[in-house]
Amino acid sequence: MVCSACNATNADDAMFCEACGSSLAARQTDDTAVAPDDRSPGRPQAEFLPGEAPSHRIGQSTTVEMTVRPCVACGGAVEDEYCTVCGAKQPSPRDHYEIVHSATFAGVCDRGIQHSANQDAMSIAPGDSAFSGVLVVCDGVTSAPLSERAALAATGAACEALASRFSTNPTERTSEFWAAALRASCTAAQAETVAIARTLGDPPEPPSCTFVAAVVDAQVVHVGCCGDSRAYWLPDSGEGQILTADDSIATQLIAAGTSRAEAESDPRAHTITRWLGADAPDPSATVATVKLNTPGWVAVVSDGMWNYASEPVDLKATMVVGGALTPTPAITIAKAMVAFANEQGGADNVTVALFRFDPDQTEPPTVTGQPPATL
Amino acid sequence: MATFTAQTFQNEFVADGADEIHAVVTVTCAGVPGGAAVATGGTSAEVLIIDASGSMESPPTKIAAARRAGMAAIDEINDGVFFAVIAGRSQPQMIYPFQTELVRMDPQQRVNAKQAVEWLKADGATPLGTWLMAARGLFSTVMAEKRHAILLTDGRQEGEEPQVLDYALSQCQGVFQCDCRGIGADWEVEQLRRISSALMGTVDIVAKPEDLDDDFRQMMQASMARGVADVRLRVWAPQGSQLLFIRQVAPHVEDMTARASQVGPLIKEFGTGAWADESRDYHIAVKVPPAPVGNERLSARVEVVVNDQVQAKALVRAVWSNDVAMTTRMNSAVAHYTGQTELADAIQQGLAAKAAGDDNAATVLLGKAAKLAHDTNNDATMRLLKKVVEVDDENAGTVRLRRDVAKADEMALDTRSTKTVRINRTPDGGQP
Repeated sequence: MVCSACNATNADDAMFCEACGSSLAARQTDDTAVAPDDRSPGRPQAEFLPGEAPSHRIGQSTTVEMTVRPCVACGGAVEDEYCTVCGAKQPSPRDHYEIVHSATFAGVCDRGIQHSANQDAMSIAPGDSAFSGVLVVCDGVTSAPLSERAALAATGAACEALASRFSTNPTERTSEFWAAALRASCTAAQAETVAIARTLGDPPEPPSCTFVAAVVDAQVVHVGCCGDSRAYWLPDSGEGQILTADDSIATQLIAAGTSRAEAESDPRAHTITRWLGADAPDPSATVATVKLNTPGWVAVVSDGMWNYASEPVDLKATMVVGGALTPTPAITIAKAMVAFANEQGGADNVTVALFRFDPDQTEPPTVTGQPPATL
Repeated sequence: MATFTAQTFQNEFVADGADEIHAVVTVTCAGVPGGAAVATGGTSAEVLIIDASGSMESPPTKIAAARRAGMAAIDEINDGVFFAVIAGRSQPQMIYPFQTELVRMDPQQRVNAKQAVEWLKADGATPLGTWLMAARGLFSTVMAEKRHAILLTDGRQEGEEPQVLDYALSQCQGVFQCDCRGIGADWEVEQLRRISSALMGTVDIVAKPEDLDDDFRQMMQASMARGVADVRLRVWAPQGSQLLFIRQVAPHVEDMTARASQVGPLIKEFGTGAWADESRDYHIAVKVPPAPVGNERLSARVEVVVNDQVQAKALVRAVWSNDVAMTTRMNSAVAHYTGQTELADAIQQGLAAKAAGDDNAATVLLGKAAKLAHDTNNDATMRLLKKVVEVDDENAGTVRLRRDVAKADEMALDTRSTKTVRINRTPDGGQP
C-alpha cells in the first residue's frame, strides 16, 4: 500500500505509514468498514479523523469528499491537522484506537493526558472459536525516539504469529505448544523493532518497547512477557492475580523484600530491565500458564493503566461500569478503565485489552449492544 | 520557474506554562532564471543614484571612482532592463537618458550611458530624501515588476529638512529596493542603514575609492540574478497570540517586525524583496496561550508567497511537556542566531557609547561583542573588531579600546556588524 501523504510503500495491511506516520486505513476503500468479525486478524482499526483524508474512494468510481471536522478545542476550521484559529493539534487515529471483536473481546489504546504521542500499541485476534483469542500489548519506550513505530509493528507481528497457531489441531495445542508459540511471537516482534532501527540508520537509542501477549485456549490462559506491561486474571468472584512478572527495578525491590506499594512508588520503579529493541540484551518472553475455572476477565494492560490500579483487586474495581460487571460489553468496560486512568492524570499512554472467559457458556457470545457507532 | 522550500529548526518541546515559542525558519530559493525577465514574466528596472555633490571633488579621486563605478554597473545591466542614471546634487539631475524617463538597455544605450557618466561633474549639496523621491518618480514611468536602485554618497543628508528623508522613505518603501554605499568616512552609518533597511537593501562602506567599481559591479550582478520579484512571508499565529518579532538573521540581521501588513485577523505579511538562488534564515518568536501538558499547538505557520501564490510553508510547533530533558534543550540554530543578533546590538551600542565619550560602557559592550563573535565563530566581525579594540581574552570578553582608531575602521565595524555567519547544520542543527 502506498501512503498518499508521502508516497512511501507499506505492507498491504499496514495501519500507519512507516515513513511518515500518516493513517493508511483512513485512505482505504470503503471495504474496510466491515463487520468486526471480518476484520483482518490482529491489526488495529481506527475511525476517520480530521486532517487525515480529504477524500476517499468507495467502490470503483465514486469519490466521496470527506468533510474535515472542526477543531476539537474551539470549533475552528482545520488545516495541516492544526486549528486555523487556536492552533490546537487535532487528534490523529494513532492517538486513540479501539478494536472490538465481540461483546466479550475488545480493547482500547489511548494517548493519555500528559504525553504528546501514543507510543502504546495493541493487537487482538480471535482464535478458532468464540472461546479463544489472542491479546498483545507493547509499550514504546519514551526515551527512545519513534518507539511508537516499534510498538505498533511488534504487536502486529506477534498477534499474527499467535493467531496463525490456531490452525494446529486442538489436541496438539498443549501448554508446551503455546509456550513455544509465545516465545516465537516475541522473537517475531523483536525482529520488527530491529528492522525499524535499521531503516532509521541504527540510531544510538533504537526504538524499543515492552511486550506482553496472552492466549486463551481451551480454558487455559498462556502468557508471555518482556518488560513491565502486564496480563491479569480477574475472576468475577474470588481473588485475581497478576499472570506476568515485570522486568523492572520495582520487581527486583519486591523480590528483595520491599512492599509492592513502596516498590512501585520508588523513583526507579519504572526502569525496565528487559525490553524489545535493537539494543536489548535479552529480548525474550518469560512464559506462564494458568488454568481458568470460574467466569472472569483476562486483562492485558500497559503501565499507563496499572500505575493507577496495580493490585488485581484495584484493577477489577475500575471495571465496574454502571454497577454491574457483566453483561456490559467488553469495549464499554475497556473505555471506562482508560477513562479512569485519564481521570487520575493520564501520566502515560493507556492501553487495556479484555477477554471474557466463562466456563459455563455453551453458546458463542452474541454481538449485541455494541460495537460503538464509530467502528 | 523558481522553486522555494521552507524548513523549521526549533525545539518544539516547552515546559508547562511556557508561552514564548522560538524557531528559525530557513527559506531557500532555487532555479531562478537569468536575463532581463523576472520569473513571473514581468521586467525589471534599475536606477543609479550617484552622489555628485561638491564634496565628491575632495579628493577628486572620489568623483573619478564614482564615474568608473557607474560605468562598471552599466556594463552589468542586462539588455532589455529599464534603467536611468541620476546625479545627486542640490537638485537631482538626469545623467542618462536626458529626459525624465527610463530607457531599455541595448548595446547603443550602453555606450551612450557610459559616455554620459564619464562627464559627471561634482557640485552642490546632499539632499538624500529628494534624490530618493526622484528615483521613485522615474520608476513610476514604466511597468516594471522588479525595481532596484543603488545609492552612492560620501556625505550626510544636507540641503533639505531632515523630515524629508523620513517622508521619502515612507513613500519609497515597497516601490523599490535600494542598496546603499558610503564612500570615504564623512557619511553617517545610521542614516544609510535606515535607508537600506527601509528599502530592503544592503549597506556598506567603501573606504578606498579604487574598490568602488568592483563593488558596483558585484551589486549589479547580484541584482540581475534576483529573478523573483516581491517575495513575501505570510505568517499566521493563533488567536490570543502575539508575534514578538520576526527578523532575518542570515545573511544579515534585519528586524522585519515593524514591516508587517495585516492581511487577515490572524495573518500578517512581510515583504522580503526580490530573490536570487539563495537561502535566508528568519528567527521568529511568538507568545501563545499555553496549553496543558501533553497538548500541542501550532504556534506559527510561515508561508512563502509570490504573486499571492503559496510557494512553500513551514510550521512552528509547541508541545507542552513535563520532561525536563526535552524542554531545557535550546535548539542550536535559535541559540546561534540569538547570539549573532546580540553581537550586532553590542557593537552598535558600544560604538555609540564610544562616540559619546563613555569609554567604560564602550569597553564593556565591545568586550561582550568580542566574546559573542568568538562564541559564534564570526571571524569576519572579529577581524573588524580587532581594529577598534585590543582583545585580551576573547573567552571572557576583556578588551581595551585602541587609541588612534581610523574612523573608516570604526564605520566598517558598525556597517558590517549585522553580517552573520550561518550556523553549521551538523550534527545537531536539524530536527527529525
